[in-house]
Amino acid sequence: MALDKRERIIENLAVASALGLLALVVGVVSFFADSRVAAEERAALAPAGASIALAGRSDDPTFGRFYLIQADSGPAYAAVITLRSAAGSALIAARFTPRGEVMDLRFLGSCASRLSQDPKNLALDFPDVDEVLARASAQARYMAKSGTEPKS
Amino acid sequence: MRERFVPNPIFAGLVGICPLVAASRSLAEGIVYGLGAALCALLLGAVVPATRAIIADRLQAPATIALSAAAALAYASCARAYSPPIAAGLWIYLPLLAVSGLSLSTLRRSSTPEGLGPDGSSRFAQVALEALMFLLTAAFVGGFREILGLGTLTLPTPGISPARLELVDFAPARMLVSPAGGFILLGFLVAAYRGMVRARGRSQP
Amino acid sequence: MNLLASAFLWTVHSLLLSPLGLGSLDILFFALLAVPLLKFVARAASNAGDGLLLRIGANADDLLVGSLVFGIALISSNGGYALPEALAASAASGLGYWMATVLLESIRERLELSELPHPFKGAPAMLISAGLMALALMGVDAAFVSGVAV
Repeated sequence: MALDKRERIIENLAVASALGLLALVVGVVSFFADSRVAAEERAALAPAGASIALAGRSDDPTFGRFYLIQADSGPAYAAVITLRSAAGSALIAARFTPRGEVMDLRFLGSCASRLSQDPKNLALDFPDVDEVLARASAQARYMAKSGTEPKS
Repeated sequence: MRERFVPNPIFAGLVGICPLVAASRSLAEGIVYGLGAALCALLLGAVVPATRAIIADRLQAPATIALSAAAALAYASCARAYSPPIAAGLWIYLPLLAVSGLSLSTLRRSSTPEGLGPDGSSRFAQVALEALMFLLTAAFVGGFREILGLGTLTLPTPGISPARLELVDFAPARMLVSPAGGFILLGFLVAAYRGMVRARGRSQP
Repeated sequence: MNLLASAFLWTVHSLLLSPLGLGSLDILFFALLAVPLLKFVARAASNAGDGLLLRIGANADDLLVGSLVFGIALISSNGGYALPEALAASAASGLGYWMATVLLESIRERLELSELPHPFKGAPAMLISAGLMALALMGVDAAFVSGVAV
């Protein structure tokens, strides 16, 4: 009886360790995939001749990373925002001033949608785009105030 | 009276195809989703029979579900790295590959002790054939829906901007891209397949 | 089952996974923790009751490992919902699933008695009916629910 119990415990521990190893493998794959996505985002966001650095991360499902761009026109925060609706999905590059104002929106790519490439028409296909941009603006403002620079 | 309001469990099977209909809105999404389901099924078909001898019966179910979930998560990460817009379009349906109809049927098939199917082929060969058919179906349904619905064809190219072929300059039937349209189109496709098979004089599926 | 699963995953995601930066592993933890727990609850329901509870407990086993329960749990945890919103969403989706299956069963009974062309009998007619019902619900969502939310 005691042997059975001990065998069960060992069995449970063995399976738990195997599952922990599985979680580790998934974590490692996610890490490398995330790095690749970050590199693509940097390439898409940074204009020629500007330096770009990771400013912070967010828990928001529509934008994960915020970047700080130091360009000739001045510092700015940028993020790749993911929009999804029944019309399809789209990625847009958004730049914000340290005060959280939207500087510009640039259409990057889309899937399963017939969108006009003009960011002004985004609200037609993605009704929640204003809400998403408001959240991103708030994040930029927060980062500007709590980061080292720039502040305004 | 009470019986009328308790749902028939047969319709749980219909729920199983919801992710396929919802995910395959374009050729690119159909291929990526179908490939993910196929790869998860192949992994389960290869690993689960081998673990039957190692893992106790009471731990089989959680271990195999966890393996399915891990495979789905790993594939979702890779899909996100391959093409962010396609992965964004597939949304939660990539992690839900863990419990796709194909994964669950592979798990059920792999948990039986028989190594060979009724026609003598190995169980893994059956799983592989099922996985291939699922991939082709998802790609076909996705492509068909996109052509009829949007008049375009999105190719599963890597990067932040998938290549798109514009076949006509308007969206013929945009409703087909929605899940409702997907169900309707699937119904007509199944009916068309049955009509073809009947016309050739074979028995109905 | 939906409520339980959603509440459990929301709690695990908010209190354990997100603070540790493991949010992307939510479905793995869900499979490991919630599925055995909910299977136990389903078995308890089928053992404790008779008639309705017995049938619910028996069917819950199949419905549990399906995209409905996992899907709504993922939507709640990844969509940044608060706990009351997650519970409301899971309850509403469960009610919606129940309504859809009851209506589809009625439609199925009528279709069996109808004279349909042979290729459309069975699954094709059911799929087209489900699609038309989904279309109607999309219209209700756009016309009434979205208006309420705004």
